[in-house]
Amino acid sequence: MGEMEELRKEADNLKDQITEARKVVQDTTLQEAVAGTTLVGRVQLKTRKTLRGHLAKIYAMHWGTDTNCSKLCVSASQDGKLIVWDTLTTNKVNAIPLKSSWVMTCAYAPSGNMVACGGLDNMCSIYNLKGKDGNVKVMRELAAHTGYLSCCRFLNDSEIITSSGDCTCILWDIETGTEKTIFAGHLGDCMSLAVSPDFKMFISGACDFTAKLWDIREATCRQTFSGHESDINAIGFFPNGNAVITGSDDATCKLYDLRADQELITYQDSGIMCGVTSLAASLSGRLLLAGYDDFNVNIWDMLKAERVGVLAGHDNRVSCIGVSSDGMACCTGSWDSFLKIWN
Amino acid sequence: MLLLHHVGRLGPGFTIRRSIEQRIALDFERFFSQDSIRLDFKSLTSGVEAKMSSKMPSSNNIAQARRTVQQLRIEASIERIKVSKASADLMHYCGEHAKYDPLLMGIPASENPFKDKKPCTIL
Repeated sequence: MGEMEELRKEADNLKDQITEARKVVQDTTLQEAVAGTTLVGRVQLKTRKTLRGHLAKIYAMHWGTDTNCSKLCVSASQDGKLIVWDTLTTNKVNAIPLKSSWVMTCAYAPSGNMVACGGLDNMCSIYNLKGKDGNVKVMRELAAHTGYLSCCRFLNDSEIITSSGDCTCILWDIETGTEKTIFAGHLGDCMSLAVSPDFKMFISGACDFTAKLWDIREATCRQTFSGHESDINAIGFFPNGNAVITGSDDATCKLYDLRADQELITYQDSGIMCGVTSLAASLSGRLLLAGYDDFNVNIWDMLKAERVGVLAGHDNRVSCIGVSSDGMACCTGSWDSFLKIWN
Repeated sequence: MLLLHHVGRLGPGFTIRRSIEQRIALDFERFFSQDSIRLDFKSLTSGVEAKMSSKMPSSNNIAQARRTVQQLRIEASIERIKVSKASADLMHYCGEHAKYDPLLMGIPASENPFKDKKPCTIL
């Protein structure tokens, strides 16, 4: 009894210390700092391509990064298929049938050699796109999570990080198919993850309303960010790796600075009352594109926190969004079964 | 069923802040909607039995409390920079890279690989 009470007191003290330390460095706000900056002009993007082929809701998409596949992307749909698209021609490079159609996430390896997906099967399946006979086959099935797979991201061809409804994230060795590190700490389902541009850290957003920054090699949680009033569904890094953007069911997105260890600004509008499903930053970080439950994508000036554009074109919820690695285009995927390329 | 939906997501010590009727209505709609597998699944699988706190602190709870304190010690000890510096660095990055940001600057039609080239007809 005694120790529990002591631990509780120490925890409260430490929380107060953190709150104080954050206040001490809050010599201004981002809002004040950008007061002299001009708002970005209205951003009007047009649909350049519509990728048709999925027969059911699209749950996830991810752009290729390698110079060979900067115009390729992979999408995952409840129709039980992973499709690799050439977004310039709208051709399907690969149409991969999945064992489980309840897929919630997909990822493209930076090398372009593999794709991964997972969902209610609690597993992350890795597919080799460059097999000898040209067929795309399952290379590994990473099984250890006790909850659904919500997100996965490759570090390289031999390592992948997954987030799960079992409240943990795992770093896997793809060769051996085993867990290298388990990142535990969240108190709710992990819904999303993003890897830092230098591949040393990753961030996770969860149903405990917090985002956590993890050191991949030290296997520790460095920082925890609160403030959201509901589940965090989407998370991403600001392009320089020094800040984190989150999107939540509370209808807002937030920008947290890693070095100041606090929230800098909230992206909200009284007219927006539905949850954020997905987000992506433009190449310079000036624009934040966020997909919402109301079928739209809102484009925000990341510094001024004002809406500067809307992408309206889907007939159902926008479930996923991504900006290509060269910043040339944005891709949106929707429950209406289509993907659209905008710029 | 709604109560299970809420309790299942959150651990002990969290207050459920769902004060607006709108939010409850939204959750209600989601729970019964056939569409959202992810949203339904969030509420069903969040380990309800594991999250219920007991009155007598078991060794499990103490171990968990020790881990929480340990983690808070790590987070309290980090170095922080001033918000003014953090803001300035973000603004600087945006400024430096703006001209290379196609979505921000716009792409001339001739340089846009995604833009369909209209065929020319010779009259």
